Amino acid sequence: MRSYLARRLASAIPVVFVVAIVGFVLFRLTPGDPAALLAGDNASREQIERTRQYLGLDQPLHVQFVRYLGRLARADFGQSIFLGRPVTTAILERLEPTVSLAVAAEVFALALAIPLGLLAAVRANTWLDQVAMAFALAGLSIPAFWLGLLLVFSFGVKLGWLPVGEFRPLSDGIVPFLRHMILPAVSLGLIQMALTARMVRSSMLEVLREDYIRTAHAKGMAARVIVLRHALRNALIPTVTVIGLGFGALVSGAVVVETIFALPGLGRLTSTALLNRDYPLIQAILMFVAMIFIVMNLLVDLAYAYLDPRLRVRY
Amino acid sequence: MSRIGSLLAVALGTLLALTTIASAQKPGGTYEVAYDLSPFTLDAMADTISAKSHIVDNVQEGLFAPDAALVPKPMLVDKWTVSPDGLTWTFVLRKGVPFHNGEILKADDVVASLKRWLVRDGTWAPHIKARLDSIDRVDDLTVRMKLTKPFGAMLEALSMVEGVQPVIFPKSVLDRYPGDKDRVKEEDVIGTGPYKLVSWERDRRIVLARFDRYAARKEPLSGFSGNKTAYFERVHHNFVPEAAGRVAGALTGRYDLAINLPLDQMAQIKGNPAVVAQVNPYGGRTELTFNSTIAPFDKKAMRQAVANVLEPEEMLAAIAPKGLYTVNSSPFFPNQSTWVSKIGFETYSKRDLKKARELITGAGFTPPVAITVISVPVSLPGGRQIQVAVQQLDESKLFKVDLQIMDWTVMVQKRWEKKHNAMYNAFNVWYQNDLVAPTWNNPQHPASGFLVSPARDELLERRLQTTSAAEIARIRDDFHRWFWDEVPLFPFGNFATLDTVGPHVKGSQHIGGPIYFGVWFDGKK
Repeated sequence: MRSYLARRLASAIPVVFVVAIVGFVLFRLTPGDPAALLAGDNASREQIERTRQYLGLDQPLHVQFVRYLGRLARADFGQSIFLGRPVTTAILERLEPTVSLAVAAEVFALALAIPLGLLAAVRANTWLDQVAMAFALAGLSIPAFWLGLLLVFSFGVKLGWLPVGEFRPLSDGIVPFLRHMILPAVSLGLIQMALTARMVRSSMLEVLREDYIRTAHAKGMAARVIVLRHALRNALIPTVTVIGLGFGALVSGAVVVETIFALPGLGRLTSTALLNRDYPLIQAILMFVAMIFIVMNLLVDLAYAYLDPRLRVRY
Repeated sequence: MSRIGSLLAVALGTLLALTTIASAQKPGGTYEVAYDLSPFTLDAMADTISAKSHIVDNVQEGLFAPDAALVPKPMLVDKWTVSPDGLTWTFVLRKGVPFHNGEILKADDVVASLKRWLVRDGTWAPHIKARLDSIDRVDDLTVRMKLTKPFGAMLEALSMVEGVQPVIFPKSVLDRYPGDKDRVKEEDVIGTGPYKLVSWERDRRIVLARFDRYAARKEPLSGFSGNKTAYFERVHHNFVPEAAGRVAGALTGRYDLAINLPLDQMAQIKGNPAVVAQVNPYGGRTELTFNSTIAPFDKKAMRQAVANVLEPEEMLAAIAPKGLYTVNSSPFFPNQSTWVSKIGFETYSKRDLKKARELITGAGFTPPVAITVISVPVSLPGGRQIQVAVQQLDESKLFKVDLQIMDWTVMVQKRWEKKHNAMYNAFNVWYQNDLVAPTWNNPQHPASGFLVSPARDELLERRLQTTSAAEIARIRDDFHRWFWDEVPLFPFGNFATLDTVGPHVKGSQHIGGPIYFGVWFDGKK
């Protein structure tokens, strides 16, 4: 297992390298002038050029790239052009709201998706199945920004049950943290819930047709035990992939929800960095997101081994 | 009643009103604010963005500050004089004004701060630098600025509350930031203002706390001048980028003040007892700036032709209900009484397609003339005006517009490339406070369309030479005549900005930005 982990981590290095190159080239090709923006609206042409030199953006692209790689080799991601501070600090500051939101959204998604998918599979082709899958389809079809606004105005403004924005860190207490996290988590997690529910249903339907399930029934095993202990565990193997990659997407794709609910997370940082062409910051965020996906992929593979003992032999 | 009697009655009434207000002001509480944009820095001299100024204006002060009528009034200055030849300005500082770090304001702080500002500002400072002989400490409380030529707009320059601001830092702080590009870190944003900066959680909130040792002026509060006493224990300046979030937070009482709400929410807000609408009638202005370096707008007649095609009221009505916009032909704001003028209103407001056609053909062009207009996304306040303008130009069959929408970072780049024919631009009130400062009046700046005009240079020089109100009035009229002859840009008029405060909030005012001094809670939150 240890050598497997080492191999997987080593194989991540070229991926990170390719992401670094693609990120560097793509963002430099995007139109927009961070020097003019940083110099300020009142700046003269000369002031803008001085700012460009100061940022090193006056150098040829290949020189900038070599410098960038040199810094990267020393694990130095540089300074944000606009924030004027190390990009790692900027990213780490924003992690808590984003990870909190992603975890809350994932918990919400799983808490709803697994029972829903199970119910739909066990009661396949009945009205229960149709209602559950219609709910899942609605979850897939409703955009997060629309749902977010709807939740804000119904549960926040009209009913007044939950606060309508702002992030409260866990250190403020679990109750305020959860109260402020419910609406954003539902907005962000609904699509993940729908995807997972549909995946659980289809995997369960396949597993329920397997011979060992028929055997279990023939042995007189209780239906609840068959479904929960034997079928669900096997059905979760493909579902884990959706959950794992979905979590990566939740961490990296919460721009809209973070904006609607005023959460100071990575999504808003990404959006600001992109709009301002803050090259060092956006490149670092890109690499950070790539690493999240690499780690999630690794965790998914390890989860396979946990769920399916046959796979452990291969590691 | 005799004249003296009337004056006495007014004075007594004012005194009574002031006494009533003073007795009603209650210190305490935390002011929760929903604000839209996050700043990159809180260094007053490192950026021009309003999001920075709206914090700085509550924390730091300059030698002068604009009152509610945008007239410069002394702030950290006690007395000042200018020599008869206009070449020597002497500023005597108020005695015993403490900074947030405990130091006491001295002439050295002013010299260090103004020297730094002169290096960094791109609007007023270049004019001062071009005339500056020396700026020195005379004694602990006196600063002297010697010029080689008069600079009549000195007080306006030193009272800027937006852009690169001439606020006074302790010299001991600035000594730690000697570089041209150094930005003062938030822990060093130290001033003499009524609030001090406590913390800045990026994209979440900035926390301000009342500065208990604040040395308030005796004059009544007016705009950014006078007695700026802070009443709140704390201010939470929360960043809520989504307008719907600010509206929802205001309606639920989460925020005591919510900034920059969509104008189309006015009806909903007015009908809700949980909030009080606070309208700044002249919050913003948008315009079409012609690029005068290339055809067709290198020709004055072509710029005049556009002015004869556009119908501004239709554009303003597209973005705001009646009563929330002002038809205004001047590039200055209606509340800038020194500079605003009606001269040119007819050209601005009258649509004359026949005349426009004559101007186009007279300039050697055949309608429809293809033009490229660059613009930021129209979701910004006032942004839909550009779509109406384009529609008016297209429907006239005199122009054919290629409207290119791009984000601000791209537009900043494109406007320097000078390949566009016109661009959509937006301003707020502070950049227009004089003929000297506005970027739209600086031929080196893209916002002016790069129009070079000796006549304008002459007007500008006249302004720089004088402090006489009568001469300034003459310059104002001459300038507007020049403006509507040359038409360097077409101002679309002014639109309001909308904020809300809770019914328990008293004393709130909005002059181009939120103000946290002179505001207090009255009644239950």
